[in-house]
Amino acid sequence: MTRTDSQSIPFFSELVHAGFPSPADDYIESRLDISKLLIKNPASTYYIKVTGNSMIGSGIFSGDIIIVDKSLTIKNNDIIVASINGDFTVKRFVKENDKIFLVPANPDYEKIKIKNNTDFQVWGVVTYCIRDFQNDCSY
Amino acid sequence: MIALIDCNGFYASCEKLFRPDLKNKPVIVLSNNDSCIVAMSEEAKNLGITRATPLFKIKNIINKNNVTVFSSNYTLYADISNRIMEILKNNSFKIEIYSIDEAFINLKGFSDPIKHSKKLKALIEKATGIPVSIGIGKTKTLAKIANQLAKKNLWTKGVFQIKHDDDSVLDKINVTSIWNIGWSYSEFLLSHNIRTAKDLRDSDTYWIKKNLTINGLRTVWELNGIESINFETTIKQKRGIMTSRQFGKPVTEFQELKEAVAEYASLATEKLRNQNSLCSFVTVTVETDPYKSKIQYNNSISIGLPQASSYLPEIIKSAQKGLLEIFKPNIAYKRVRVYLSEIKPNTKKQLSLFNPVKEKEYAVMNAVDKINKKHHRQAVTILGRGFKKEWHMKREKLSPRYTTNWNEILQIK
Repeated sequence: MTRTDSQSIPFFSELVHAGFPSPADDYIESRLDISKLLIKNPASTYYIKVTGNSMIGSGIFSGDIIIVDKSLTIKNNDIIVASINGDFTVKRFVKENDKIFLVPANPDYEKIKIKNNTDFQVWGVVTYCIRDFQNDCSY
Repeated sequence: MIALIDCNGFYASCEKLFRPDLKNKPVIVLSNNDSCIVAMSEEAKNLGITRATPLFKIKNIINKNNVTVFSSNYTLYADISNRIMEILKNNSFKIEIYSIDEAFINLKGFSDPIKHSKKLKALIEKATGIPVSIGIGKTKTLAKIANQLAKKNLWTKGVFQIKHDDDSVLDKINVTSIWNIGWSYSEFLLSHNIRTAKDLRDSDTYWIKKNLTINGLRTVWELNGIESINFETTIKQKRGIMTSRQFGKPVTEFQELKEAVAEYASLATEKLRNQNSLCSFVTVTVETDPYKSKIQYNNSISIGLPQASSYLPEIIKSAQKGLLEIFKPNIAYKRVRVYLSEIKPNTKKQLSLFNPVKEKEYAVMNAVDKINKKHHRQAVTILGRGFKKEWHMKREKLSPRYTTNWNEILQIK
């Protein structure tokens, strides 16, 4: 998907009444397009559905769709999608004194320490989370 | 300076992107109908598996080494390809997309092409997860050679530049592997003692023009560092559009073949309409399996349209009429092809004064196109295509359409 796919450009769809321009003519702006807000880098943006509860403390619930950007450089405390020993997970990336941890946001889950022999790879940074309140099972 | 960017084991790499459990493991991707190997990961290559090998021949290797097998997920590959091309477009002066996983870019304006290419490689790999190799040269032909070397030699770290006077390098390149030199030409060249890229570069241009035509001459010029093969920035109109599929199971009934022909004609016509063209000839070909069929029967027929057209019902009717002419009963057909040719751009002039019904036809097709684009391909279709489709392509090991279908996106904990 490219940004130009969902661009709304205003144009005059009606005949301009001769001799009586609208006072709003000079102020027309394009309608809000949410993809412009949520997707800064379309080529590196992916959507992933979360099926666990390890991050509910951060507002990511089972059934949510997260928007993940693979091109961003990770910063300390970013929520990321990573693979550990061949499995994907979504956790907060925390660096403390040269030690890296993947931290859940749910007391029922343990934080994961990344050791030298851990097969760990960052996949992308979570930028937004989408919840469907019409189909919300979290309450 | 021109760079050729080429993805490493593209289809296999796309599959691995969403499967971290397959990192460093051998992966292969099968062609249409799950019949042959069409792509593989580095690990699979190291097991001795080669492209175009039929699947049944390497069943042992697959089982012994836990090779993961996928059917071709073209939808996914096309989307990943688009992402890579978009990144390239944003980071170069000009781009020519050569195939689903290759593109030439013009590095004009970058004072250090190798440095920029290394950055580009890292950017693509981070943003899309697909590893690429980059070859750099003054011409496309040299860039292609450089790309081969970048791929083959690990010490290049995937980026390599070649100059037209790098004699020792060019002398190690066999003529067979030079771009635009096909098998027939390389036989000819070898028989005249022109064996390497260096030999070809230094060969007599008059003799080349005489025996390899102007295209061979262009290749020689390019090997000499002179840009001779046009840098196209627009997609060339296809001269002929073919849709061809092998059947999962051989087909003998005319009705099934008729449905298949209608389907392939639809797919080809969709491509025709997408490039705003018309065709004047519809060619239908039927083939039997050269290995398995007891009776061999291959035949083909071309039906001329009264007027250049892209009106689907007319094209299907012509294709099916052609099929009726060449169909023979009691034969196990393995493949059908529909080929649209004599293609020309669709201008208003084509609407004939003698055929006012054409206006209505075009209105119908335009409406169908709009709906299909909005919903999904082939949402509105001709009833003649059939619904049961037992002859449909076998694709048993298809991965999800992670990036184009909401129901198939990656799910993680």
